[in-house]
Amino acid sequence: MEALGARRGLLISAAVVVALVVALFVWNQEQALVIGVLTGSAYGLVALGLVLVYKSSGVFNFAQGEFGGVALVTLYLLHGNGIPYGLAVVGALLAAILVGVLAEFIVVRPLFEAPRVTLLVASAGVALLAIAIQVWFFDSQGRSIAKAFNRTDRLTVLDVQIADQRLWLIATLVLLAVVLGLFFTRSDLGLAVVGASQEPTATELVGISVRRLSTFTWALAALLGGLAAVIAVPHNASFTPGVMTSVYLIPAFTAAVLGGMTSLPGAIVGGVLVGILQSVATSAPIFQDGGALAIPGTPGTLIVFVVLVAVLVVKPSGLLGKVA
Amino acid sequence: MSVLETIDLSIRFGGVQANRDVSVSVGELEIVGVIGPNGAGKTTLFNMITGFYTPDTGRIIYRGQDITGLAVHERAQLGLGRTFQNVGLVKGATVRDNLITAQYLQADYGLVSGMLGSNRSRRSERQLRARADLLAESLGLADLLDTQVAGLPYGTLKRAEIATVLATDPDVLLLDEPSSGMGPEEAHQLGDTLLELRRTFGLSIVMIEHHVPLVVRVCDYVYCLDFGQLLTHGLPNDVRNHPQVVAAYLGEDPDPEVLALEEQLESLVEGGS
Amino acid sequence: MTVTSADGAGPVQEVLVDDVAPAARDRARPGLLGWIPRLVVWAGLAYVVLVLPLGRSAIDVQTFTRAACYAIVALSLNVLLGYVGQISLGHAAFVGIGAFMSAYMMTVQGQSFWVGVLAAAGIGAAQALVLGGVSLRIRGLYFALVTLAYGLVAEQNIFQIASFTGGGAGQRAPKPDWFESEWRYYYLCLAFLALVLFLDWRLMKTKGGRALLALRENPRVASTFGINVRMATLFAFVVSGTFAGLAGALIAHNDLSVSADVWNFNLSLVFIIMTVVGGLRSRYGLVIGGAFFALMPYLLHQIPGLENGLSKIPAPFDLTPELAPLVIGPLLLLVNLIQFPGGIGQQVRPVARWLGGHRFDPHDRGLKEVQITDVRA
Repeated sequence: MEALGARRGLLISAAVVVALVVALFVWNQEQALVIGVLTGSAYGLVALGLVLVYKSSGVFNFAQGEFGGVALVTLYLLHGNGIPYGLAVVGALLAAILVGVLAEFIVVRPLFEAPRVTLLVASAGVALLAIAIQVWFFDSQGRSIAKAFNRTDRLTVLDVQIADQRLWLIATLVLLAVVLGLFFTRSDLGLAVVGASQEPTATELVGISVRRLSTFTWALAALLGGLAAVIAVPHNASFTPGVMTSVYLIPAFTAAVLGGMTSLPGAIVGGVLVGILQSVATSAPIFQDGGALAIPGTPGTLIVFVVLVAVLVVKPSGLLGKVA
Repeated sequence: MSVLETIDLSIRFGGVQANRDVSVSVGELEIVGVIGPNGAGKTTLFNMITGFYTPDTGRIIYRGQDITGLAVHERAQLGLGRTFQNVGLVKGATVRDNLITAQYLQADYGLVSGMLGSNRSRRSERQLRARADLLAESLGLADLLDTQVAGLPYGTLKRAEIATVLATDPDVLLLDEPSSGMGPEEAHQLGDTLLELRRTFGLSIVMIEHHVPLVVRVCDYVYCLDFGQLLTHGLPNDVRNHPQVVAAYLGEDPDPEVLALEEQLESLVEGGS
Repeated sequence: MTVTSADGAGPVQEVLVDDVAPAARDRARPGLLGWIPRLVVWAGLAYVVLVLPLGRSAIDVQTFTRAACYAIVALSLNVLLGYVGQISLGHAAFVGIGAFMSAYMMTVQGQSFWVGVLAAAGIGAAQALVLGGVSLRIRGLYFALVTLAYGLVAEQNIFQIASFTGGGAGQRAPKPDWFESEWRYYYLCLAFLALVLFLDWRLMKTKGGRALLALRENPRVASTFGINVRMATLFAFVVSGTFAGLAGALIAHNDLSVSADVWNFNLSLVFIIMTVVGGLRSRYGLVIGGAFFALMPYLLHQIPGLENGLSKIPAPFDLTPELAPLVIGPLLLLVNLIQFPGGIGQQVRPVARWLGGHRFDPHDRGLKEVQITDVRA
């Protein structure tokens, strides 16, 4: 029964993707495909972290974006003070992991037994604290961080120039997806993480420390958030404190929901889909000023919102998730 | 003329046929028992009658009206009251709060009017409060009016639940295992209470029960369910002695020694009435 | 007598009850002598709230007014969080739209302040109604997500409608006639706060409030009481939205202009935190919580030497008082969630009860605290 369901989910997803691609070409929006994959990979990366935390502790981690925010601050500080870029990136990722571990220690552990709602609110508090740290360093002005890789003309697809940095993002994403996928299905530790979320008592009885697993999971999620921030954000001409939440978190959540909150590949597929939809929203003339469905401000935000609500109302388990 | 009737109710959950073609009938002022082993589908039947589940097939008729499509609160409006297996009370509130909240349908003022503090709402509130106090007193809960429900002992909880369901001013009471957790003494008192309630409030009662002496003593008619279907129905003693019913409860041919023991125990309890 | 209440999901809480029967305990009223110290405290509070601001500068009074408005926001968010049991992570949108609506009505439509306030309350109610409808279809945790997304839509789409919000420059929001001075406007906002408190009090004293509390904890049982769960939920959303829109309007005219960049995710979170820290369902707690967060920068300014000391910290590590709510907030939230779920309201309860004429009972923690944890998910 379930295998059929999963296959059906895959078939539906495939059908959706094909339909989308065809539609894009028909409407001259095929560039959205490329742009969508590029931006969507960042969402996918953040979404991976969201799904990870959800799979292991059932928590909606509203701080997932801001783990990346901390990484940005660190990268900015280190690089701005002369430290070579590569090392600065490592430092930034370590900072993100540190914050993730701290959050797990100070917030998640004491609330281990509490309803998931409490943890949701607590994670929102962590996010705010992380934003405070960013405001502390950045004020509210826009700042910018240099990219790691500056070449932009190596690859062009469908008339869209793809910067090297973005290629790295996609490569990172794919690599991580494969690694995590293997990790959760093949390795003992990975299976333990999933098992711990469903049967904490049994896991403890087998001799695995559920608490250590929790720390590990949050550290990993923080790393993912940090990676997303460090690779994706420098593309923006400038960014402000809280960018990871206002720009990346909701699309990432939508991606996770779209893919089915419990599915890692779903998170990536969802991320790409959201990226494409957002790109269409941003460039399709129908949504621009003067178009029939003109959307003020950032059209992508509204479109993502609509998609989110639509998915939750129609099929809360997303494309690839198990039926809730 | 029956006050409540179900006609061929059936419902299926996934692969399990929880109820199949269940037809029961409750007459005016009757006390009807619904018995059967655990998992027989008794609470499912209640859930369909009160509107928590929608039956796949079948109808529910209340005072001649087909209520199969009505929502839970609409059926409450018509006079269907029910208790729950895990005590249907707002645990975070006091006994008094529960009793007043349960009188929701008798608060005859609008929501906004209440917020604005109209005279009408104030008057109605006073009435609700008075009625709550009366109900509490009649069930021996006067001292506990301001106590939070969550801390009460189980037997008291059940009493509070009965008081609360009475506050909804029902015509038909559906009680889900009212005597669970009670010893023979308490169950006997419960029987007295139910008979008294029928007399005082003019209620018809349907109760899911496991306590055989209570059923025999209090019920006018009994339905027995097993595996989601009606096994038999009739007068309490007839049903109770029906070989299939006995088999259903015991799972096998009954051991005459065990039966004899049971009869002895029952007569001991009955002897106390 | 010890009544032990066991919460299925959390630790066992103990409520110590006096040996006097509850009904009798409630009826014990202080004599005339007992009232004197209470009245003194009441007078002191009245002095601080009503008289003290007269001696302060206009800028300070503006902050006090903001405190009153934030208190209204806390009361509004509490209707969702504390009464209905739904999380709104986008409440800044509710309040902000009210702010813009009122400013728009006055500046662009040329209406009076009172029409603006009414329109603000109205649009607050309308959008809350829509979101309430959504909440009926989507489970608690996911609904929180939707509210967050909605907050962003407000921030990045709705507040970008130039004709409505004045674009980058924001919209002017002059004070009403008769209340042009900061002090008078302060009393006006206090009056509105009193109105909201009254309405909230009446709500909980009548069938609407009771219906909400019942359905928050146990929707199935509530429906057997005859409560239409959907209608009650929508009603609560409308009430919450009305209060929020009103607060927005008051804030708009307090600041004399409304701009989009204020109404963001950070603010929504601050709102949540101040409501939870204030104490769900505790009216005085909520007022204190809201006021405290609004007054935080002001209070920090009052600490002698703090600003001097802070300015000595070199950039980029320099701290500003504006950061305070963002830092102190999450820390307080953490403390609240882990240790004091009832918030400020619960801690202050013995004093509040005493002021109301009851005996001072330091162990009185009210009924089992309403926690953020009780939200249905």
